[in-house]
Amino acid sequence: MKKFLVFFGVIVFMLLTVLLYLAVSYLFPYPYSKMNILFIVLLLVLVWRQSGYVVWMSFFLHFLIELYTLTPFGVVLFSSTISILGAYWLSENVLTNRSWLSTVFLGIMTMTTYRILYLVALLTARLFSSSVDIVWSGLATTFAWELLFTVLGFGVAYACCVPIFRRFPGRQHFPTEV
Amino acid sequence: MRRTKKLTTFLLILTVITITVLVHYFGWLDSVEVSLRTVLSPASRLIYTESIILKGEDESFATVAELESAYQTLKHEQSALRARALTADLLEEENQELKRQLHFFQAHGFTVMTAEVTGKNVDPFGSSIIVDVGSEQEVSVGDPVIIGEGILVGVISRVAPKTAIVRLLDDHQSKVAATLRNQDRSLGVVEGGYGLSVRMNLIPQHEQVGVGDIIMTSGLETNMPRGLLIGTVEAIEREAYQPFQTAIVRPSEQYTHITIVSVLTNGTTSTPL
Repeated sequence: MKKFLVFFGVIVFMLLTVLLYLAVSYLFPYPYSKMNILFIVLLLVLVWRQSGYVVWMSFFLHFLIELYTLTPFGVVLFSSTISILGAYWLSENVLTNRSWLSTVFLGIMTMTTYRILYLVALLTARLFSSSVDIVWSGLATTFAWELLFTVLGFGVAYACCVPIFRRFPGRQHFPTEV
Repeated sequence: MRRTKKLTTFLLILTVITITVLVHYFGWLDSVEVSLRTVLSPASRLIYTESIILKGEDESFATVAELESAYQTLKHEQSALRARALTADLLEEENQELKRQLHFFQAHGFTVMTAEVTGKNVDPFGSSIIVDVGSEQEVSVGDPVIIGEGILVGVISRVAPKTAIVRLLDDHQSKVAATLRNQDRSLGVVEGGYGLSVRMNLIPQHEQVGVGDIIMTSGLETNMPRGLLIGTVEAIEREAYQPFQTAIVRPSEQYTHITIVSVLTNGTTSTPL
């Protein structure tokens, strides 16, 4: 029963996260709308719980997002899930310190990996479909805005959440000073 | 040992992703995807409607000089428009009569399907909207999407039974064959750029292009009728060593405020998502 409730809770949490992501995309003006709420939430869950489940959460969340994107199916799913897997390994083996700076650095690394993999997946999809095209002008600007606001959002959210994480710790020990 | 475990995990996740993608393309996930869309659509529609109300028609200016410049431009335009208003009234009467006779869309075999916008793109690199008509209403990939009386805003890019995704003209993968209402009737391709800009490329270098020239569809591609309004020329980029020039396009409508659209369908078989 408890397992079922936890599972149900996770499903509701994921749906609410997707709605929050939609709300930010729809309601916020450019360039704030480029903030990637999904990655902020996933990274917060990762640094809090330090569990591999976050990779599967990323998989299901981005599966939902695939329904709202125009890129060939799988591009977002592949790049996001693999980048979160990379973030999990990075946080477990390299950036083990939970200071604000190292956590923000984790965010930068994850977003950069995500967009590099996104481009690789798009270029691969281009080999199979002539309808896929990449316009290079504007790409860097869009990525820069997304990186800036996502990392800023993550940094602020992490600083706010540390007292909660400390009170309800997962596998990770949180320092008294962020 | 640890490295092997990591490799196994990586391969496992990669396999799951590959299987999901394959299952999607075989169409075995259709029912799941339709159910998920049904769950998310009402909330998406609500948030989208609220965003339209909240954003309104506001325009912001970074500096006072920018505001003054915009005001002066508007004053000039207003004077010119007044002079043309009288002529326009007469032309409108004539136009109404001609339109009745022309049956523009019917003559091209197109049927107009009105649709409500229920959401928009969430990928920061794309620019699209979701509409509440799909293959059940005979909407198919490539159908032009217009607002008002023939203002092109995009093209149907993906179709599900009850919904469709419209790739807007400012999406980076959008390409529409277009023509200019200039002396040369220049041909080119209107392309978008990550929701930030719309450009008309491949205009031959020797042809005269002016700021304010009207851009419309050329009709040189399947499903797309000639004469749908795209926008006007805002600026021209011309390099002496290049064979082509580029026009920066000011779209006729702001794509962020679209609530109702019309899809020009021709009743062909649709390609599923």
